[in-house]
Amino acid sequence: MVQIIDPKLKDADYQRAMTLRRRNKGKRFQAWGIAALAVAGLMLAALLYSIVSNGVRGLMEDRITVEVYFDPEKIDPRDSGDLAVMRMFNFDTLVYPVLYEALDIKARGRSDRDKRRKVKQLIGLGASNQLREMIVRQVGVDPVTEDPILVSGGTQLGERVTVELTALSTASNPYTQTLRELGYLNTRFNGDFFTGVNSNDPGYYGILDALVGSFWTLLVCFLASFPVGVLAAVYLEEFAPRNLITDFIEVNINNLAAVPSIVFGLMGAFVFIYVFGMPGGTALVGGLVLSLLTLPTIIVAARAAIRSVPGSYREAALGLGASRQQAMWSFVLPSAMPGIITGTIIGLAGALGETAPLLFIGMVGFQSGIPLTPLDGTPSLAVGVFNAFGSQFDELKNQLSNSTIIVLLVLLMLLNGTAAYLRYRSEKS
Amino acid sequence: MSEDQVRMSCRNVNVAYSGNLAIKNVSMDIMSKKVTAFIGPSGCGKSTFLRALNRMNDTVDGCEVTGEITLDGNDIYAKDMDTVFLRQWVGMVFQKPNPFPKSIYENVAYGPRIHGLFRTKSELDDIVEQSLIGAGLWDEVKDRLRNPGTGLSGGQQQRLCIARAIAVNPEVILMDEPASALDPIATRKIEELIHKLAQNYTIVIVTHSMAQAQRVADKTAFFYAVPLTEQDNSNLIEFGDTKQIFDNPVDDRTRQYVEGAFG
Amino acid sequence: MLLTLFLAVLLLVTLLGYFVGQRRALSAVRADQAKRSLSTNNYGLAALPGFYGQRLAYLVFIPPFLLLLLWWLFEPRLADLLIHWNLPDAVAEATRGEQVGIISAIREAASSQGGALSGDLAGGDYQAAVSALQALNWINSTGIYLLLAALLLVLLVLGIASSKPTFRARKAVENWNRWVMFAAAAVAILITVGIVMSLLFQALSFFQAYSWLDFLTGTRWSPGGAFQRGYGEEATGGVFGVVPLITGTLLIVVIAMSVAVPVGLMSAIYLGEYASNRVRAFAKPIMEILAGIPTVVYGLFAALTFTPWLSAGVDALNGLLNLPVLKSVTLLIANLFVALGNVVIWLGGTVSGSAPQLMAYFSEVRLETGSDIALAAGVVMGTMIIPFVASLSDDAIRAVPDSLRDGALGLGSTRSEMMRRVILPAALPGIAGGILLAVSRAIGETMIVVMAAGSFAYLTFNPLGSVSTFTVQINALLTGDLDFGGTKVQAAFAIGIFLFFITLALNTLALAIVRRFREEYD
Repeated sequence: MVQIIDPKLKDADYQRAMTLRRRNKGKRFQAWGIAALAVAGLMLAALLYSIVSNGVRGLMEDRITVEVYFDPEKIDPRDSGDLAVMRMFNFDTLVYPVLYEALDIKARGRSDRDKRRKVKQLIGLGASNQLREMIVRQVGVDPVTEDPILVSGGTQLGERVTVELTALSTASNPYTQTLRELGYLNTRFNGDFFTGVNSNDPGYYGILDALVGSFWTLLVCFLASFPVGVLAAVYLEEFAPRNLITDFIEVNINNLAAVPSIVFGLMGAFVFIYVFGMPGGTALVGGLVLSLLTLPTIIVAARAAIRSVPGSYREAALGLGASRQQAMWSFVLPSAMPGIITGTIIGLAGALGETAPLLFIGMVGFQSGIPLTPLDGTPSLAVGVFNAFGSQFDELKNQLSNSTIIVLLVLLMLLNGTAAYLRYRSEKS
Repeated sequence: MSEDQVRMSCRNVNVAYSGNLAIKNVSMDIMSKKVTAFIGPSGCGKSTFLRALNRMNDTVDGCEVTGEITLDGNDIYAKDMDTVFLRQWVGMVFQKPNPFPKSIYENVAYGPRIHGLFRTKSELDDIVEQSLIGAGLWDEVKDRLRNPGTGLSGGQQQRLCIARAIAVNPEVILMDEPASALDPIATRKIEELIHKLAQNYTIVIVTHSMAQAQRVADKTAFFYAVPLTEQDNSNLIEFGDTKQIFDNPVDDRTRQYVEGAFG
Repeated sequence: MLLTLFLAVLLLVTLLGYFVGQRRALSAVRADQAKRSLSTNNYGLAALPGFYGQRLAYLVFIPPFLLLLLWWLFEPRLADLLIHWNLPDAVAEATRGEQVGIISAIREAASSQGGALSGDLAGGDYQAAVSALQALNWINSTGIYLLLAALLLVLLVLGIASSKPTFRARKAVENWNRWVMFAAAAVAILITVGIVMSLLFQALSFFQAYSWLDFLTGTRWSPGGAFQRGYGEEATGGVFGVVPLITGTLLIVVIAMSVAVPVGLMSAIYLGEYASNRVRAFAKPIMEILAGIPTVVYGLFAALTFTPWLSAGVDALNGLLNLPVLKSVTLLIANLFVALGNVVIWLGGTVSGSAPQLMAYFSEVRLETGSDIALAAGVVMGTMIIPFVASLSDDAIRAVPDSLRDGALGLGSTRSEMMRRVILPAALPGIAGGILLAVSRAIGETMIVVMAAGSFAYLTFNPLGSVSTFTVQINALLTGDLDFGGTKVQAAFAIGIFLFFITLALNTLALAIVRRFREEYD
């Protein structure tokens, strides 16, 4: 054989230098890999930083403490003593003068108009209500005249009372620092966040309704998708004949897993709300829509779990004269259960974070009390984030939305952690 | 070059996988332009030892080689020895034919390309042609060099892998049971090829077939999985001329093995 | 109330049926002397007594329950249909608003005591619809329960009568089970049918009002139709040309993929091939967390954090471009483009933007950003898809047999040469399939673009500009009250079916590629 490689190219020293160059090229390639990981890590860090820094601020709230004088001259100028008259008064106007005085702003005239506007922006939407309730409260509606039934709120006109009010948009307000130094403004833990319900007012916004709503939604989702998913998996793994219908079912399940979630939202709005006439905005419809998404996940997980049960279990049962179904219900399915439950929890975790399919079933912008049954209208936590995002108030849009995300992520971690623990335990045994 | 020159020399080589010895205390000389065969029952470490000769074991996590292996007097486990550099001189052919999912031409050109062994396209064409001729495959594939290498038959694929190995003009070619996955006719061709290649290359072949060792090898080494805890034990039971190993073995275990008593 | 009562009765009868079935079978045996044979067990029955109970319980529960469920699901639409059938033809010519008014008046009358219509509609042809609706209401409140009760009774009698010792109750129960399991599996078909039907139903109504050709080729998307008069405005009140949405979706998907593919692929290569166990233990969770974060979280990040960061970055870049040192260079480049455009115009060609604009040369170079930046939405969407691409690439790389690794290393390749020249080309079909799946997911992704992309559909490929996507527009069209007869809602379903088939085609293609690739190495 003729060897035609130029000896100079195959020279040991030349090749040694060449190898070094190639090694360096390899290192550069490896550096690209590290850079890619770094990009992913940086994006995650930025995301978490944004959530935590904004979210933690949402868990704290700024309050303004002022002594309010319930001036009878202003609230009931004709001294009528009529609660209905007092109710019409704009109570937040009682607060502003106190602050103007503290900040050395003229209460009248053109010169300080902009400054006064800034001060007014600080006082939350609910302040007027909060003060009104101290004087006059509505306890119901007269069934005949449809007039509101009013009672005294306990505070008398002419009293001076120290009240705490929500302060809004403090981050961007020029007077925040001064008021803080003067002792009018302080920061404290936002307890309303955990006990309140969805509201346009950042001072009263809370996630209790969304939390309960998410619970009901997931419960409905579980009840709808778990039995159907497990039975479908059992059928397809053990009993389905090899025929066209079975193949068609399999194709459908594979495709469903890839359908964009928003399409399920369209279908849910049309089928559940329009055709079936179910009540919109409820956990019932939300759970049913989400069950369409979790169903393929559960079926796939359940089939894998059933397949991994050793065939000897089945044979032992069949050998004792059990029917195939008896073997299934009494041996195979119980052994597969840990795997099925792990898959179901992962599916439910996905459903907890889903928002897009819930956009069109009336959950967005929903405001009501805490849902007592799945038939009450409610947002879910994820929809709650979207609701907060739509607010015009910085506290709600930027901060409380991220606080809601923190709660959502903690729940997701709990669910996924449970699934990981179950998997670890079943692998160990 | 003298006939009896030592190409690779191994002294007291141990190979351990995460602390467990797989090869203990092996010493042998591999002669230039001769075929050396490693035989022995499965699990005796002959493949492990072969892979130690061009540091393929480096890719296995937790594998550790001690002792000394030299190529033309250079320690291949020296700190400044680059495996990439070493494997140009010590090539390898594997048990299962493993052509890359590229054309026949690109399979053979792969080595010269990565090592930069040509200056012009026509030089590369020559290298590919000569390598395929050397591997006895040229006549069968010269009209379809652009077809995928994976489309060839098993025997042709293995000869393609041999062509691929000789395209970088190595000193030593290691072959790990190169014919075990092939039918008898293809095996025959590979054996003839090994004979022919031995004129230019030093060849080390692992085989489970004693007949094959007798047909192709000048020297034969018999490996056996002895209890490795005992002192002064070695996996290498006996090493010598093929004729002597098969006709007149010194060690009893070698005799029993070549007579087919076990293995 | 009747509903609750009936459900309680149904459950009670089912429970009762379980015990009655067993008793009945056992007592029948005593009569003809129990004995064990090949066809009977120790009880003298063809199956264990429990199966007789189970079978009777199934028999009395399943049919009435199914009937009730179907009635409850479809009754609301049945009412609509009844009203429609019984309306005089004249109504069809009324406007949509009038129709809605008439229908709600009819509904109100039907649920009132006398059932008489008031005002303009009184005494007219509308009374037929009211009567029909009243009949339906009677069925809904009373009739259906009479029917269900009768059915329950018949089933109970039949079931008790057939609970003979020779009856193969286990077989019967297992047959019921099989049907229930089959029904569960067939739900997958039902869902698909539900999706396709609901999308088609609404989309077809839309295409009756709006030409599908204009939908597919129109370059203006303006559902409000308020800005410009144009085709179809009288009929639909909006202009629905889907081209700007296609380009907008494409732009964002391209940006997303140019983040996700290199980062995901290189991460997978590094983690699979180079990383030490310690690095892997640290880096794997990054991917898992990125994969587990809900899209609404990404959306909020994109809209409120990443977009402002990007704006600030562009501002800084503007500053940099106009630094004295660089300004002459950037201006030269920018003005060269303008000059080129002017030459084209002088030669009689056309350039996007009007001629007078192009005549003016720049004195300063500024990159403009608005409140929505396509780049921001795209990059965040790309980040979301990184773990998806990484995991699919990892699968594809792992599917390449180890013998190819050995072959490449044995010839003296460095690891990166092995990766780039042998493994990646071999894994390419699998990776390509995975990327297609990722593209399909990006097209259907909703929350990020709803929150961070624009709502106005500009026809542009400027990554710093504002574009809108399919999913954004579906959301915009379906926000507020859902009027399923209205063109806006129907347009949303038309986009939906477009989206559905695009993603379906991409997925089918991707899975076919991946499957063939797998077969090659099996």
